[in-house]
Amino acid sequence: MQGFQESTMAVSSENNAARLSDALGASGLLDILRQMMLIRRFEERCAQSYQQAKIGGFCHLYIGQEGVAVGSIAGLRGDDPIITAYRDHGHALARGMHPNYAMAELFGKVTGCSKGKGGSMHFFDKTRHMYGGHAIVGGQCPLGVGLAFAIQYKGEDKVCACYLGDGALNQGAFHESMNMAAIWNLPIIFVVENNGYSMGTHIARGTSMADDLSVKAAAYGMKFARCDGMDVLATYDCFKALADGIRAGKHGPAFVDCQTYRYKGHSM
Amino acid sequence: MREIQYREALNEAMCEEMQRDERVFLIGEEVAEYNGAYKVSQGMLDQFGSRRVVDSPISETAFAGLGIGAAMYGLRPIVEFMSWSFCLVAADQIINNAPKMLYMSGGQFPVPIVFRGNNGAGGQLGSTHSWSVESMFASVPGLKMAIPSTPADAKGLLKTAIREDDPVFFLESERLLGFRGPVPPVDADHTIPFGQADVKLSGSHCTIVALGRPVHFAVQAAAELAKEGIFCEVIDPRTVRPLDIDTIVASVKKTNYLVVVDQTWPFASIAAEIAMQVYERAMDDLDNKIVRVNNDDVPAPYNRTLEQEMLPNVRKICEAVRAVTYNA
Ligand SMILES: Cc1ncc(C[n+]2csc(CCOP(=O)(O)OP(=O)(O)O)c2C)c(N)n1
Ligand SMILES: [Mg+2]
Repeated sequence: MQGFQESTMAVSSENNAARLSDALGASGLLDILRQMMLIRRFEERCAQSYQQAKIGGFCHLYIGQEGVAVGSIAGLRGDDPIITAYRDHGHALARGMHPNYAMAELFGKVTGCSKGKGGSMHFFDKTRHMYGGHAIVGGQCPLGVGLAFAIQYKGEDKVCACYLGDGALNQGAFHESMNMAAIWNLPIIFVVENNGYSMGTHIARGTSMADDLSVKAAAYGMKFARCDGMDVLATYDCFKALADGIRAGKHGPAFVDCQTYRYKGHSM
Repeated sequence: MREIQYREALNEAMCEEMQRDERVFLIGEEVAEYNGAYKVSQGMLDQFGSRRVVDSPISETAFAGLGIGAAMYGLRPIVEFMSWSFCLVAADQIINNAPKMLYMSGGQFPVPIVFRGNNGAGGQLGSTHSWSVESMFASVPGLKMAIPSTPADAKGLLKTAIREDDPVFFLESERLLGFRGPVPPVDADHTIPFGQADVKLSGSHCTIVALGRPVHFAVQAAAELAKEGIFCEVIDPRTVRPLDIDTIVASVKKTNYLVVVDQTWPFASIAAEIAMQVYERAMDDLDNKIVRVNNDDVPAPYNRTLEQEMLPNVRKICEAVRAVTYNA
């Protein structure tokens, strides 16, 4: 994809410049690696357990996209609220949910993060400021705006990260949310996890201007960034800068095209 | 008679009607190149091309509304919701526009459209994906609603739905897509009129009315109860709007007992409506109160055991029949 190359080039041409991720240090970098590996191993176990019929319903694996959740969440503060779609295991683990707590949910146990009521698509963790996995495409966008509204209302300095798939770009809820965030200057980052597909549909078949999503942000006068979601440090740099920028009042809400890929099928 | 799957029956109905009437087309997510998320539209893109089998972005409001507009302009759309759970995004279009256009325009704009897709829980999908929408929408004037429980009904009712001049809400069961049953031959032009119940089993002790997937539970429950000497009459109304209340009332006049099974939530449910209509018409023929078997009054849980327990099931139906007929 064209944009993918652009961002890779942008990073390599800045090789000598200082990057925000330089400050992570060895232990910060190790944490990030550990989290990505945890997600990968966790998802592999999910696949196994699903095949053994210990997990039921729909189960969307995050394999391939680890860099997006880990890099972006590392760039946020621990108390910044996050909200996402149904492909939510990675975000929960990146937020520090214990894998037992996550796996227990998938096994339908009362000890799971949603007490076995939600399942794979509906992870919630209030103590880690994770406001849920949401299974109706685009349905989390207005909720994210609501979280940002409440942050602004209370005069806090938090920033909400609202994740969505590229398929959700075609829902009215997304566009209404973008407009509201823009007119009220809400502290929110819309994060498109652009893996190129919604189920069997390539983004170019379902989304206008698929090769330049910056226009979606431009339509609402919103700050735009594109990042290589396969590069966890580039993702960190992008989100750290945006979250700090919003917190400092340097700019308003933002829209990020994180280019990534899922290595597995749409769902188990 | 040949046996085919429920999903194949739906596919045949759409293909036959599309051959018969050039105005009919199919639109929805993944219906064309992917051959349907549940393979209901298998082969239809190859057969009819992308003009008539249209892949939509994940934009329920837009493609449901597009269908309504196209119907006002003279086409006869079939709009597939991958699941009826996702139609809620398009609620304004499907319940505010489609069913009211004819009346509101003083009869100028009929909306001959079929909205169809999976309805009902049972696959551990959690509450957002486990809607049974029949009770939520059946109260809207101007629409028709069919809930087929067998492959033959799926085919016959869908063909009728596509020929209808009113909007039809066609509620299929994901759990039944692979279910096989006898269906008349392809060239039989098999249609089933709306408002005509099917008496699945005759019996003289208690009437059980059930719709959709629970019809199968009711038939199994009747087999269990027969071993105890309780012979049930099982009635599948097949369409909710219109509702064949006459067949139900005639049965109640014979058995004097009624259990209504309904995969929606109890408050203001289809079961509540059927019970009320029977009270209005046959109160004096009842030897006990009417008992309803609904979902429990909670959102659908993910946990398998809890989910099976919150839905209507064979055990609950047996218990209801025993409880209502104890004074026989
Ligand atoms: C409103 C609605 N319509 C349809 C679906 C069914 N569905 C679930 S996931 C999906 C594809 C979404 O793709 P994308 O947003 O790109 O996310 P990804 O799966 O790639 O993470 C669809 C069509 C749904 N859950 N909600
Ligand atoms: Mg995608």
